[in-house]
Amino acid sequence: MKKTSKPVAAKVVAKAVAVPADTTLTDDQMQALAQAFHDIAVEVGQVRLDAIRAGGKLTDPAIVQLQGNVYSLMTTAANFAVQAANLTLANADQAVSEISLATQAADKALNKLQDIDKAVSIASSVIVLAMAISTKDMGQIATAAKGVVTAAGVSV
Amino acid sequence: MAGTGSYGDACEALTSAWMQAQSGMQSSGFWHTFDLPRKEAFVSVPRFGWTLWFRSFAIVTLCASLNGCVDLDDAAGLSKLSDEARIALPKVSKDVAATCARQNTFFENTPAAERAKTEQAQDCKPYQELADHLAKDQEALIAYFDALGKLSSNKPLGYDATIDQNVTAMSTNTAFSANAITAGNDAQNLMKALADAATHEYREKQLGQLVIANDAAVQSLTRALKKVITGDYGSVLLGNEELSLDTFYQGPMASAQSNERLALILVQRQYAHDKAALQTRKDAAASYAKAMDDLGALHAKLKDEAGKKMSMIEVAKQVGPIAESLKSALSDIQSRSN
Repeated sequence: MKKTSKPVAAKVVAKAVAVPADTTLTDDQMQALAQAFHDIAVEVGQVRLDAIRAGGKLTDPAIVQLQGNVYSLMTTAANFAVQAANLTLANADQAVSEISLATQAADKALNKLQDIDKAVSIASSVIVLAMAISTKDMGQIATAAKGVVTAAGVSV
Repeated sequence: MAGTGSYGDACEALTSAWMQAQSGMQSSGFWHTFDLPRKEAFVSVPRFGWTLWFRSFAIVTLCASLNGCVDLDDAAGLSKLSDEARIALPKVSKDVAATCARQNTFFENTPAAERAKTEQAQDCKPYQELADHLAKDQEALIAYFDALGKLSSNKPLGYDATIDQNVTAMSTNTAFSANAITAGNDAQNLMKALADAATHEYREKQLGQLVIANDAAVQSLTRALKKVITGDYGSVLLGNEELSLDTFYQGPMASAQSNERLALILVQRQYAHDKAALQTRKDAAASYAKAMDDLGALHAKLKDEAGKKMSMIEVAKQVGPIAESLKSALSDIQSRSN
């Protein structure tokens, strides 16, 4: 499995807008989000596989949890790609910028991560972010994005 | 349309002259002499009849070889390409739904103890709806190119009655990705243009106007279909399927015991087989994208030629390489899905 996306930030222009307006995300933004969630799923899957290769059992709770996270993240990516295109967010550019910074932080932290608990924590925080995006509430999105950055423990 | 101006008219006039010459000879009782033995016929045909016939025949032959009394369908092979596209492109668009089913198969075949209790198989309905939507949009595109070929060669459209129904049936689902929505809108415009063409009996000389008027929609539709297939389907959905595949096989393979060696070999083979099949689907998506590029380029070229009023020979020369490339892309999709 391979990650194919370009960094989301490259496709996003963060703008400081005084008065937030409802904006539908562009198709490129939606596709970048879908790709970002897919890429994190790939990283989580790799952490799970590394843990199994290191002697972990397929039925270990943490490994099972990672498996569940992989599927949740894939489903999120697929939803963005297939049906959630008319996602309207207040101040969409800023929202996408925050989301992309968070997902990049998660991606970076998961890369070659061996701490399975930390991987579960990061993956779970990204799933919370996905749920926040579906609420279209900027406040929830910003909080969830911060949550991801905190769980990842890295800055981009 | 290019080539149907003065040169095309001249060709038509010459052909008509030849036909008149034929009918003139027939009505004069000259034509039946060909039923006689050759020598006798030669003797029995008055000299002026032969001269007229030979002149007409020579002119028409010259016309056919130089101008190529060819139409747009001959020049670009539009009808044939449309037939091939009608078989090849759905193989890719249908797989948008099939990938969901395959991913669910991996999920459902994973032992319950190895998967989170909260996880469920994916809902494939949105995938199926997108696949259906793409099928309608690409059918509109194919029907449009097919109609260009048929209108240029004065063949009956054959599906006039269904065009209105197709336009009505193409409701735009706003839950789809923006590219899919764009594709739907463009496809609707093309279907309306076809309905208009059928109603107003567009023929050769009006094809140029039809091509010019619909170029923007064709370019937009081909771009949108390409983006959905390469981005949404090729990159994300097939990427997800690859992750499902890897997750399904690699975990058990990595935890296999040494006494499971033979079973492991079998599983490795199955894994390699499934990976190869997935790669084939990715390649087919790439060929689909190429086909969309070629359809867009072909139409753009036809639009350019329409403005120049070039001969069909020249049009054929210009669009030939693009048509060949398109044929190759469609053939790639077909061979991969067999």
